[in-house]
Amino acid sequence: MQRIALPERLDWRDKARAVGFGFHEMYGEPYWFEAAAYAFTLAEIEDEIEAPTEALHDMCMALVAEVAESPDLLRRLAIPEAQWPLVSESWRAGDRHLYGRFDLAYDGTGPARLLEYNADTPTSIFEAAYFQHNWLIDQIEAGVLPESTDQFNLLQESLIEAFATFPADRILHFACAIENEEDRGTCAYLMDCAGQAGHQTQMIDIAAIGVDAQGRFTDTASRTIDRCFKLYPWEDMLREPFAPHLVPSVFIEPAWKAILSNKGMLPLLWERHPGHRNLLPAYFADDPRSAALEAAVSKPLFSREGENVTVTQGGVTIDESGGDYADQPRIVQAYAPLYADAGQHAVLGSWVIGDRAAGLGMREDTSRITRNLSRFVPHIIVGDQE
Amino acid sequence: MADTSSPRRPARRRFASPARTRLALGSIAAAASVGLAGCDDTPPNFQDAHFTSVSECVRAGFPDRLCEGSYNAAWQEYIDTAPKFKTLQACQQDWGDQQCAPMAAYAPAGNVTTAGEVFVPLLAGFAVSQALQRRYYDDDDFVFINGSGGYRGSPIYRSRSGGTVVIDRGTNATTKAVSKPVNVNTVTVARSGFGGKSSSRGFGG
Repeated sequence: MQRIALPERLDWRDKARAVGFGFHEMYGEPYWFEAAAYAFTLAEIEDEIEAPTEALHDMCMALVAEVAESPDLLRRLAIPEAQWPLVSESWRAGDRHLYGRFDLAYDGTGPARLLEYNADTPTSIFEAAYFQHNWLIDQIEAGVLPESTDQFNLLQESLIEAFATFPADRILHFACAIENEEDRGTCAYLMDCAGQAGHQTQMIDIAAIGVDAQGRFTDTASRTIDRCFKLYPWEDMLREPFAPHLVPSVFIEPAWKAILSNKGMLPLLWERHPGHRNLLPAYFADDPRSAALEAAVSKPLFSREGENVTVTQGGVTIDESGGDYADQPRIVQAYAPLYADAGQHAVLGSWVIGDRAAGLGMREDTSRITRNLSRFVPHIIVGDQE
Repeated sequence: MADTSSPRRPARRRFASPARTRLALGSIAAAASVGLAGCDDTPPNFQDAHFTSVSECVRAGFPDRLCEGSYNAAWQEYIDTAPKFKTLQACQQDWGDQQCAPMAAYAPAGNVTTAGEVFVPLLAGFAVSQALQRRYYDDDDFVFINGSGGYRGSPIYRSRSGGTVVIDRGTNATTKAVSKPVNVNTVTVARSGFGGKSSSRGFGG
């Protein structure tokens, strides 16, 4: 694994604009960054990222099966008791899931370690699946990269395949915060993949969802919402006024993902697989063992974009991020250094689509805590000598 | 960097397609009007619409005559083609406890040709099809009765699990009916029950 400098495509901003990738800059900073790339060997990708991702996914699915039947564990994960039947029934009903992103710490030497699992509302899929792939093709054609260069990226075809497993017998709604450009872009891209899989789709703002007198969800044309992708966290949906109307089998991701998009799953995984090479020691904050971790990261159970994360060394805080999630139960995880070069810390986003490891997206940040100012950098698999 | 030492790794791409094509976007993201940078929340014209009553249909903005005609034709089609059961129990087995009634309660006596009582699932609504809407707008005088102009009414049933379904008979009348779910048009009584957290920041991670 290596961070390499590469010339940018001169017209990449035009290409971004042409496909409506408006968030290639966010908060006034470049978000898509192609003056560098992360280079891996095929062995690194296959043995240290792809295979561990599938192993982690299997461990997660086994964990869901256990937690879904355990009131104690559902309580431990701060899932509201009134919604336990929803979560459990969505699992027992076999509600299908679409995608998730494991965030991994990996520096090319030791094993990749799971930092957290964005199992419910992962973003950066458009840039990983589409824009990153076309960057590779452009750079090969321009002679910047050798012909034999590859990329761990089966994302778009896997998304279309995964959408095809949902019956296309009614409208597939896509609910997101429409005013947020990144969320809207993610939804529009996934709608496009669903369309290619034969679905009739309709976007709706999450706040525009209604209910009828029978408690069925409705869209702005007052049609029932029977199946709906949502880019909106389960931990919020389970606590909001419409929560009593939730039933299994309507939303994608399904309600059982509330078990995985929850940092409480990290100590639960460690408890079940102590010493696993792809896991970091992790404990609930009220567990005395958490205090014994020399270098540790404390995170709220529910937090997005690295908010309210604290890094400690020997009990002393050395890095800290603010945010809206301060009042929550927390977990403590052993600190794993990220790959660092050129003043950047890199996190690997390893995607699971359906049930397979399907691709990689790299984000880097000047801080050890990857936040919403992080930028997306493409990656390559270096080809064999020809 | 390249792992050339291992014999199990042939000198070829494994992930990117050997044809090395650029990925394409479909009509949704590619269309400028509904591109990644924009959105359009209005439904297209002439979509199939499904209602549980004529008044719901009218409230949704369809002309009275189209709503009534569609309902009447659906009713006729229902009388003709509803799945029939010899016992109430058999009907309830397939359609749910509260969902069945004797056909005689609905049909004029002469319509029931089978000897003895017949039980059917309740009519839960009707469809105003895209084709029918187009036909109606093209021809003001068009009066929709079942079978006119090749159009048949479209009854909607409620399945055991509470969803609304249409019966898809296929082309062969002897084919076993397959129920097919639909997005029924209804009346929204409340909104904004989700999305209570400030939405401008986005929710992805």
